[in-house]
Amino acid sequence: MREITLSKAVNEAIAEEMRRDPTVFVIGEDVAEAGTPFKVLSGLVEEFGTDRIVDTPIAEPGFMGIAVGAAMTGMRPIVDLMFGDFLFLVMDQLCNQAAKTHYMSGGKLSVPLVLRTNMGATRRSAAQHSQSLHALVAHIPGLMVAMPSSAYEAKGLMKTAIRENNPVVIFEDKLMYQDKAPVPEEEYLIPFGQANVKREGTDITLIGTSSMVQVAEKAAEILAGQGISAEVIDPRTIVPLDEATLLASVKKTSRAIVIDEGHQGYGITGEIAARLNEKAFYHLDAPVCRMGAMDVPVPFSPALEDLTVPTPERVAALAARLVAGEMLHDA
Amino acid sequence: MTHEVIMPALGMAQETGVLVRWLKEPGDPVVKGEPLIEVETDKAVQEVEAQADGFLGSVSAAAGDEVPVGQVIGKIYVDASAAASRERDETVPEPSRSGPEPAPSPEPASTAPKTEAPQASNSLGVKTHSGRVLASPKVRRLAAEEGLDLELLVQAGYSQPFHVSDLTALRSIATETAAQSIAPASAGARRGRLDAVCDARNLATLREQFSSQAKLDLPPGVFFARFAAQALRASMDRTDELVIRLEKLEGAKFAQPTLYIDPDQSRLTTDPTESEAEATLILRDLTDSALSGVMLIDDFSGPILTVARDEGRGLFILGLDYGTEHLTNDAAIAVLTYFAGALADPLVHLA
Repeated sequence: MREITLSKAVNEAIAEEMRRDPTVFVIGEDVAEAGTPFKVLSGLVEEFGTDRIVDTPIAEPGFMGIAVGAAMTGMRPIVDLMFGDFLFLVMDQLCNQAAKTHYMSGGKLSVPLVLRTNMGATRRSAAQHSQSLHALVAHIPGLMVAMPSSAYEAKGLMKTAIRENNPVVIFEDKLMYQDKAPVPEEEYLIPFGQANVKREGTDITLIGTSSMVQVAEKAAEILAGQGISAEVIDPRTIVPLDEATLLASVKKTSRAIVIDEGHQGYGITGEIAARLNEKAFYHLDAPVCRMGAMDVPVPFSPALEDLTVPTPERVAALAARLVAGEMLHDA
Repeated sequence: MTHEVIMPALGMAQETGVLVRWLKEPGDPVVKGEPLIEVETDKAVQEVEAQADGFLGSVSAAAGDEVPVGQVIGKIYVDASAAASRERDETVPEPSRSGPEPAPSPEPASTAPKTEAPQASNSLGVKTHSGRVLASPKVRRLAAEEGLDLELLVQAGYSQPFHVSDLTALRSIATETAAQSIAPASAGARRGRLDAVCDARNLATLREQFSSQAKLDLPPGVFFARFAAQALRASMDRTDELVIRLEKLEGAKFAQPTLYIDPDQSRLTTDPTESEAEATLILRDLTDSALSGVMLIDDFSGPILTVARDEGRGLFILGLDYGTEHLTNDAAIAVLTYFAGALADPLVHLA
């Protein structure tokens, strides 16, 4: 099978859906001629023109509001938010309008909108361009949240998102845009709420989102060298969350670590760990542990920035302690 | 990671030292340079300092023990949970109380007699965990499903928290405990139990004849004691003094026990003695009670032979409880077989 970059996979997904459905359009900063700073959308404006690849001024609340209105009135906008950190600027349009319109209109209106943005640290972009803020939107009922972990997921989830009749936020890890993965030529969609068991194991379950799936897989390799069999699971969408697959795995292995690049405090890791505790309690032989990013503004210093995110070595070290039955905290 | 505490050499020709006392309890934090133990040599009592920072874990010598120089008497662990969790890995040798004796043969911890050292480790567990057994939800559920008590692991000195991997140990401890619970006293010894029945009518006839012809009212206990002594002599080639302690259950209460010394070598009419000699065998006469067997809590000090009566069928119901320290299985079977035979045919055995 051919291998393409995550960036190309997103580009293909949007182009295919735009060819299929004339109501789909892209709106955002530097999306047309520039093809976004990460060049994800390069070539689209040449094919679809500036009516459907719409460059906007630097005014996130404005174009987000336009998109919500367009979605309510029959279009399928894809909003390009240059950095995930700019989510704070569109919170009212996204959370108060897009997320609630279907409910508050008694189902008369729907908002088939995709907000694609990014996340991920260690790109030396400092504290305002390095955040992973998916927990903020996952908290709001009415929003779906997809977190592709490779080019294959990026394409399949994007196409599903564009066809979804409710608002979806997709977070792409900006450090993975050039990562290649096998992606079929023929069309495919990845349904939401269906986790992917990347690697089977018996001793511990490593649940990773986005780029943390790679971290979990590398940790599993390290653990295999120590005779510990780790299962790696990618939930692919955190809203909806495929609890059944996660619970089945944890009931099998009796132990789990949830790994995510958002800040650990009040984050995705805590939410998933809590659900496992509630629903698999009597199958747990060790506490379900969280590994998120350090609860600090992401440092600009490369040496410090690298310390803030989970690494395969740290995941493997924690997993080995859990499997050994070590007491992590005083009783 | 782990620092061993050894009995130091405080003099040139010193071979052993007496551990006067630990100045820290297991689980306590220890700072390098801080006094840790007091040691007595032939000259004086001296404080010895800790050689590492950490937490005192298992200790294998208690106050008063005389320990060879260089022997490990305890360990200091880097963190408190390691100090607690290492307990299970240590087989704590029984301290030698009177100079350098060979180490006792290793026995499974659960059957070893209680020493001070394991109690110290238990007190550590309680101190660290406020008495609550620490166990994973899964091992709790599995233990509950199998009807196993995690407390047994605590008592056996296994470190907490417990996980599914500890279930194997728990199952074997539970099996042993169930076997021992039949005879709970004097933990450590293994117990046996034999049952027999024999014809009771011949002894009744014999006693009637004594009564009618010789005007002798001999209680059945006289015969029981005599035949029990004979059984011990015949089965075990015993020539030493045999003390049979007769405990008669009258209704619902035991009468004052009576002692027969060598009843097989004295006349039937010899009265029981008043002495407090230690019994070779306890004989429980249940013939005037409704009970057919007794094993009382915590009173197992010798082999116990019980004689009960099945009035309706004219039978004696016999039981022999014994431990490894009293009788071998073969000897016990021989004793009870002889005793049953003697009761069934008393005249022949009164020779």
